[in-house]
Amino acid sequence: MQIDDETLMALADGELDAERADAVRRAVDADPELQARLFRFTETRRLLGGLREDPGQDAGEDPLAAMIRAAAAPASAPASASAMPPMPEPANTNRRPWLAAAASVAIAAFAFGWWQNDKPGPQAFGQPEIAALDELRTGQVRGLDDGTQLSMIASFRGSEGQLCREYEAVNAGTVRTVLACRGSEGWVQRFAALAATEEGTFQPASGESSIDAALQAVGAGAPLTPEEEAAALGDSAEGLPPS
Amino acid sequence: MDAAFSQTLIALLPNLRRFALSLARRKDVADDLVQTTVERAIANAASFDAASRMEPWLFRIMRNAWIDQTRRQRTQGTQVDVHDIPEALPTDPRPGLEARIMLKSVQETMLTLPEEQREILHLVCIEEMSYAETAQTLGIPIGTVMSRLSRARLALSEKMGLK
Repeated sequence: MQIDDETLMALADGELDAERADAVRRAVDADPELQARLFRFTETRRLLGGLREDPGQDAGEDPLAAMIRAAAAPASAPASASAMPPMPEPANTNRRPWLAAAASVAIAAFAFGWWQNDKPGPQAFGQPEIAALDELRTGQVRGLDDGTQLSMIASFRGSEGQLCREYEAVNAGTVRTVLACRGSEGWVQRFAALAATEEGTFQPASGESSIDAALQAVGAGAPLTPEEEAAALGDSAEGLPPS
Repeated sequence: MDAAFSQTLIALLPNLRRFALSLARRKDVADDLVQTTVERAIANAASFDAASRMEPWLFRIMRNAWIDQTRRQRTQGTQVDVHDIPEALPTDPRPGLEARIMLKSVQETMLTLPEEQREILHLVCIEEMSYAETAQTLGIPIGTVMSRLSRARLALSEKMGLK
């Protein structure tokens, strides 16, 4: 019976099926030369197996273990997960058509960068924007005096019940996405991102600087229905000077 | 990345360190390799099939990281081998002297083999992976695993004077 080295090795490694293993074992039992060849495989496996038992490491926890646990923590900590409100449903079914068109026609030519305004404040809004926040319904577009086309994207209620609105302002080849929330002192900017239409103009995108993260941060719930929005805007319109 | 994933990954850290040392033959390089592997594993946790064993998946990541690393190191000049820094070799105070000498001899002989043989010996004989898992890890057919492993075993046995 001709038995090659690989078959002997497979026997030593337990990789042969039972029937084949029996046949090879019988042949080996009857042949000292085969026994010697098999020994080299069983012995190398045994010797190398000893290295598996060798810890090679100091007692104590591997420093990487803490890193792995830390990486797992956000997903495995129900407390922090439940503290976060569920991400609102995508409300922007009425996202302005120019972005869709740009994306479909000339994706390669557009590099979008995002910029987040870390200093929210009422000062960020001019009177025309405040008026638009108070008056525009979701889906409506208004041309401002400086040439900006302002589109109201959606309205939400934040975690404290405050009215928050997302809008986009297009001017001179840039799209500014803004999230504003209405507080006791009027509209406060909670997020602003500039989408550039020229490569290299703005910083590269950051995963956290997204409108979705901003919505989550204010605890925005599901987008308001047109009725809910009308009721919310009706309140805010009170006391405004007639335009 | 869920808790089960991270627990398995932590449990396999010693295996990763062993394989890294076998590939890199230098403790500091091996430590970097383990860290890179763990980082990549965490980043790609979603691509791991929880129904399968993690070892082949992890070793494959490590091997790819090693290939990336050595590609870069080719321009960095000669590095000191583990033989020149004996303390880099793991030692175990528990077994008797004779066993320890034998262990060290196996280890040192192993390190003299070409990388291609070292890695396959390590995966099958130390990590006890099946031929199929080894084929998957190395991205080669089982037939190639067997021929390469057989050559490596014979080379090792010859160097160690086994008859």
